[in-house]
This record gives sequence, C-alpha cells and structure tokens, in this order.
Amino acid sequence: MASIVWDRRAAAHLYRRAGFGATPEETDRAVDEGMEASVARLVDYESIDDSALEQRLARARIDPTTFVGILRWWLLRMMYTARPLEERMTFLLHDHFATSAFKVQDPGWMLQQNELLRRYALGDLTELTIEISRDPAMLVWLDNYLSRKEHPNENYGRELLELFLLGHGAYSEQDVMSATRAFTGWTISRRTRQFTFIDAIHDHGQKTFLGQTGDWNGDDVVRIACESDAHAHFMAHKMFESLAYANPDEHVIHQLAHVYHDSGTSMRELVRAILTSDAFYSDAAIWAKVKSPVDHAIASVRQLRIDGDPSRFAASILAYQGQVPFNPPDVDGWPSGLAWINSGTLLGRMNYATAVTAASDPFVIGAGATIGNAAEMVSVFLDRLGPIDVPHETRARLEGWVSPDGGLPGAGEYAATGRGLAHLILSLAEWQLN
Amino acid sequence: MTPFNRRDFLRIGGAAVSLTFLAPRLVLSDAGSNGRILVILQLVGGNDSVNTVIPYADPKYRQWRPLLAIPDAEILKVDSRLGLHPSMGALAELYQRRRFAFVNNVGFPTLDRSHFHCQDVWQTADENHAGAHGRHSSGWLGRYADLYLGHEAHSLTALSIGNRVPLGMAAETVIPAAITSAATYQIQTDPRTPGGREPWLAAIRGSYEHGSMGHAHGDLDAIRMSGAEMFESIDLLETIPPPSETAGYPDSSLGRGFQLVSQVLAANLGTRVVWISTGGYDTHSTQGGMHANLLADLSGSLAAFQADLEQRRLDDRVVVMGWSEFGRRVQENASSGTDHGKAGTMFLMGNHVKGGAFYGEVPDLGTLDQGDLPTQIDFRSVYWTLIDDWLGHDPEPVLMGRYENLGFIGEPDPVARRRAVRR
Repeated sequence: MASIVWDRRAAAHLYRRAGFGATPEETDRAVDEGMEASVARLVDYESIDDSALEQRLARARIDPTTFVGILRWWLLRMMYTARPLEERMTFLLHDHFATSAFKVQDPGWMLQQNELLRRYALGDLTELTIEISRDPAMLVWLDNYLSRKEHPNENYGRELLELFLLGHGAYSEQDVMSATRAFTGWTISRRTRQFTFIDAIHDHGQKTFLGQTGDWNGDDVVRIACESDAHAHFMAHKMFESLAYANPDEHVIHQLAHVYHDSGTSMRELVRAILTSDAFYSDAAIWAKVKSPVDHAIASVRQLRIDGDPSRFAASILAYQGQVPFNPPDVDGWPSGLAWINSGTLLGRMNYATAVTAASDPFVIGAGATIGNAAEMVSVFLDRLGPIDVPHETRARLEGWVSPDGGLPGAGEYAATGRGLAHLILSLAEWQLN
Repeated sequence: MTPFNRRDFLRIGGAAVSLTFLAPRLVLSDAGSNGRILVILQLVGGNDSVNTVIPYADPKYRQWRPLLAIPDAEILKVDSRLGLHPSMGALAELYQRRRFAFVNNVGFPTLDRSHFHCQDVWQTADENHAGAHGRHSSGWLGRYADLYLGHEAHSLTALSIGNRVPLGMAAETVIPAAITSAATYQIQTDPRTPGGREPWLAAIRGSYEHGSMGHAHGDLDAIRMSGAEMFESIDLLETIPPPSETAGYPDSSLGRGFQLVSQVLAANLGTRVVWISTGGYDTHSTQGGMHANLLADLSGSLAAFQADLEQRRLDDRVVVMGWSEFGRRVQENASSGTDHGKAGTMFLMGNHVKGGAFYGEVPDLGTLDQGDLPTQIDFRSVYWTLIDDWLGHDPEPVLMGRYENLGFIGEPDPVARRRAVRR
C-alpha cells in the first residue's frame, strides 16, 4: 500500500472506474477520507440512501413496458445514483452476460434480467450464474428454452463455458456437450412466462464434466465450473481488465484469483481487492483506458452536475456510437478501447458535449475557487473536470481562448466563457480517456 | 511531392505546418495515381445466395425449398441455368448491359458457419489470426491502403460510410473517416459562445494538431489522429457537390449511403477506397418477404449508384465488390427461413467489370457439404484480381499469399458503352 499516492488524481481515477466520474466534492471527500474508506464507501453501498434517485425516476414518467422506457430508466440511474459502483457493476455484468433485446424482444424480460444483475452486482457469482441460467431473457437469447434431451441446443452450454465462466480453451468439446445435456429442460412456462423445469425433457444420463462424472443438472454444472481454478483466474482477469487496464501481469491476477476463490466467488471481495491494489493506482492504470460511449455520456452529466432529464439525448448519442444498453451487438458484449474512436464518433462526442455544457452552470463548476486570471480559470476547470493533465501547448490554447490578454472574461461573460471552456475540455483528446 | 508517412506527419504536425494549410494541396494532387476507386459493399448476416442467384434449372432447388423457392415464372433468368431474384430487376438490366457480374461458390477452407469467425476472415484475409478471441488488428483493405496509398493519403483517401470503421479497413497510417451523412457531419457550437464559433473551433482543432511527442500513451496518439482526420474531413466534405436528384436512390440507409459516396467521389478529392455496409441478412425465419425487401434495396441502391456515376462521368473509375460472410443452408428450416451455411455469391459492378457473365460453376444442389454449398473459389482470388487488374498493384504483400486471377476486369464493352439516360 505504501506505493499508492492518494491524492485528487487517484481519487478521481477511483470514481471514473468504479463509477462514472466524480464531482469535485466527491473527489475532495475521498481525499479526506483516505483510500480504504473511499473504496469501502463505494463497495459497501447498501447503507447509502438512494431515495433521491427513486424520486427522480418517479418524476421522469417512464413507461417500463417499452424499450425506450427501460433504457431511459437505466441511463437515469447511471447519471444520478448515489451508489455509483452498483450501477457500474450492473453494467459490467450486463456486458459479461451480454443479452440483447434485439432477439429477446420483451422489455419486461430485459428489465427483469437487469434487476437480477443489480441484485447480484457485488454478490456471489455462482448464485448469480445459477439464477441467470433461469432468467427468461437469457433462456430466449441463447435458445436454451428450446433444448430437450432428444434435440439438445448447444448455444447456452457453449457460451456459458467460453464467455461466462471459464474462457476459451479451458474446457473440451465433451464438457460443452455435458453442460448442454445438463441444462435440457431449463425452459419457460407458456402460462407464467417464467422459468420452469420440465423433467420429461431433461437428460438424466451420466455426464462427465470437467473430469467429474454424475447425473449432473444445470446447477451442478455451474457449481463445478465455479469451484475450478480456471474460473477464478478467468473472472479475476476479466474484472481486472474491465476496471483497471488490459494485459496485466500474471502475478497481479494470481493474487486476485486467490482472493476470489477463497471468498467463495464473492464479487464484492474481488472488486474490493482490485480497487485497493497497487496496480489499480499505477501509471499503467490512470487515464489508460478509452472512455466507452456510456462512460462518456454519463460522466459528462455527472461531472457537470446537469439537472433535469438528459436521458433521451444520451440514448441518441449512444445509438449513434453503437453502445445502447440492453442491446449489445452479440453474446461477447461490446468492444473496448480504440474500437470506439473514429472521426464520426469523435464528432458525435463533441456535439453531445455542446448540448451538455450548454445546459451546465459554470458557477457550479467553479464554486468556491478563487479565479483571478485566465490561467487560473483554466486550471480550476481542468481540475474540476479531471483533474486532467494536458500538454503545455493545449493549456496555452485554452488560456488564449478564455482571454487573449490573459485576464478574465468581462463582467457578464463569465457564464458563457465557462460553458465554452467546459465544452473545450470535454472535447479534448485527453478527456476521451478514462 | 516528397512522399511522407502520414503518421510521422501527424506527430510533427504542430511543429512546422498545420493540416489546414496542407489539406487543399493534397486534394489537388492526383499525380502518380490512376484515379481508380474500389467500393466494398458488405451484406451483414450471411446472404442467402441460393435465392439471390437462383440455380432454377436444378430440380433439387424446389425439393430443398418447398416454401421458399421462387416461382419459376418470376425468376429473372440470365442464362439457361441461373436467374436473379425478382426483386433484382435493376441489376438484371445492368447484367444485360454487361456492367454487373457475380462469382459463385465463394468461400474459404475454414468456413465454420460462425458470423464472428467468418466476418473476421473475410475482413483480415487471414484465417490463422481471425476469430473472436484472436482479434486481428489489420484489415486487408487497410493493408492495401497503407502499402499503396500512404504517400498521398488524407482523411478521405479511405472512407467508411456509417459510424464505425470496419475491421477490413483497420490500418496503420491511412485511417478512414467514418461518415453517416454530410448534413450532420458538422460540429455544433453553442450560439452564446463568446467570440463566436470560429475561435472556439480553432482552439479545439489546435489541441488535436499538437505533436504528442513526450506522451507515453499510444491511445492518445490514435485519438489525436482521428481528431485531426475529423477536422480535415469536415473541411473537405464542404466541397462536395449536391446529391443527384435523378439517379433514383431508394429512401433507405443503403441508398442514402451510396448517394453520399457518389457526392464524395464527384468532388474528386482523391478518395480511393470506400466501405459501406447493410444488415438484416441473417434470415433464420419467415425469410420470404424480408429477403425480397433486402434485395430490392440492394438492387435499387446499386443501380442508382451506377446511374449517378454515369451522369457524373465517373463510371469508368469505379468498381463495386459485394460480399457476405457466408451463404445459407440449401434446405429451408422449419420456420420458413434458412440457417447459416458455407459458400455464397459475390457481386461485381462497374464499367471495367467484364459483366453479363458469371464466374465459377453453377451451384450444384446435389453435391453439398453438410447441407451447404461447398467452396470452389477462395474469396481472396477476387481480392487478388481487383488489386492486380483494377487497382494495378501487387496483391501479394496485401494478401500474404498468392491466389488465382479470375480475369473479370477488362476494358469497357463498347456495345454497352451508351449511358443510361434517366430523367
């Protein structure tokens, strides 16, 4: 721990990754409280009152029976939650157990899966996987509701092992077949439109799965896979890459896998270990990811403390960039990193920032700071919207834009200048990093 | 002009010259290039080739497809054995005018019916490194552009229509602009911005043109490059002529996409490679009407594009290549659709395509590979022929191997030279 420098830079990094960006007040409080207490505040979120969010959602007049309705509902949660890690993990788990409304079609089922993911956001991953195997959206998405012992459908069994629990290469084709057979009969009741198990179409034969032989059912397959070292390593690696950085050293993952395995597949303990690790606060981590469209859209609103309901506008910019929650492109989830960057997406981001900053209040951004000249104004804004380091030339450009003579904007010009400066900062190449 | 590497240039950009200054010179310079343009059309999802180019004389066609077979009288017959889907009247006409051709039974050895694997293989032209878990970083057209267009490249040398740059265009130096529509390809600023729009734009643009030397972060360099491309391409796009009013594009995203391509090409900016995609071809169920609509959109968009190019006198400079990641199962499934298959059909359009002909055998519905059409022509032979004979470059370093030249590129057929006049 001694190697972690706990300052505003580190605290803001924690909030960008474990949430969707911090307000200056959240950053200040985190610096005061220290790293472990700040992580605990994020991780042990159940005690945090989130009733303001619920009231806001009630006011938003959302129709949860439509796809647009549940999308806005979730975007507003991400924008205004007092428990940022809860929404971050719900989103990471959605990307992990990627299920698309495009095939599922039923917004009610998608919302039900979302609530399951939120309930287990930092829960026991073995239990979550048992539950999601019974989730109607998942049963439709990967066709398991059609799987019967005479005609087993491999889709769920294969993706469960390849993408959800073990990783490519950590199982054999026989393991895929055994998992598939174990899940026959996991289907949806036509009457209740919920999970039901139909014994008559379940394969009760002996199955060998990851070296163990028995009359396994779906729950057994999940438990056996989740007890394996391969699973602990896979999950530690995936969560570390999602929260910290890509291609970590093996020894970092090895330690995290131990924590996760010893805790009995507790996501809370895995995530706590990641967020308190030296590696998470290293230079390899800070500003080392590319903001995804969701990161970008939500952080803009949170960091500028935009009030109202920007969810429709956010939904349209996310559709433009190809990252609509509830609609991942395939079961492998969304791409990451530079896949999100091209001339068209950058243009979209800048135009989104136009609208968001136009709705912002520069007196809120600069609240409490003493600003005597253009350089100080730029410093305060870079700090409040980051803190973010930019090259010397960029800083000079921002200062030159605020005021050619280095002074302050004229009386009555502060608000417009502040909005324009915030728009410049949100449009910088540096701000596209996370 | 001294050849230089675009990436090096962007690195030093802030130090000496700015892109704003250089861009107009670049676009005026077509020297050293033959001016030929390749447009790639991707049909996402796996097009059902059997109902697109129909082997109607094969009695097995109706046996395999009791519900989905197209009635014989409706098929647009181009030959005693093959005919086009009835939705493709405009393309049948281009076939008669020898501007359109297709290649049958195209695939590759490791076709495995997986969207992900197959799309990656087609786009990387590399079976060993493609696939969901071995992400390849360079596309075949990106490698082509890096090798042969790098010296003259600017932000519209390579163009992707849409909001993504496809894997097939992923490149080291010739980074494509991604444009959905010319009308929205503009930065909006707050009207209340002090000093107005221009100083604000100059400030943000300047920040992207700084050399990022000294910055350790590779991603930041790449973001700066894309940003510099964005500002430059916004300027370049201002010079494009208005859309054609008479070419007859369908009111669809594909039609609008092709319309934009023709505007960009007509501006003569030096655009060399273009990628445009259209989806919906994964027709697992109730395929009939859906597939007919897709093919009507495809046929109408391609024919309007060709007519537009003819009106703009660009038709001698453009070839379009159409592909899809796999063909579909020959036998229809239990829900009036077709499942993933293997070999499929590619399209070629342009004055220099030896059209009114097909390449490869007529598909034999009696000799199937696990119910699918087997591969007879490797898709890389088509790429090879296009790079070799159309673009005029050595394909081997792009494709990392040698493939057959299929001989479908030639001088325009004088008989068919008369231009279609549409009013």
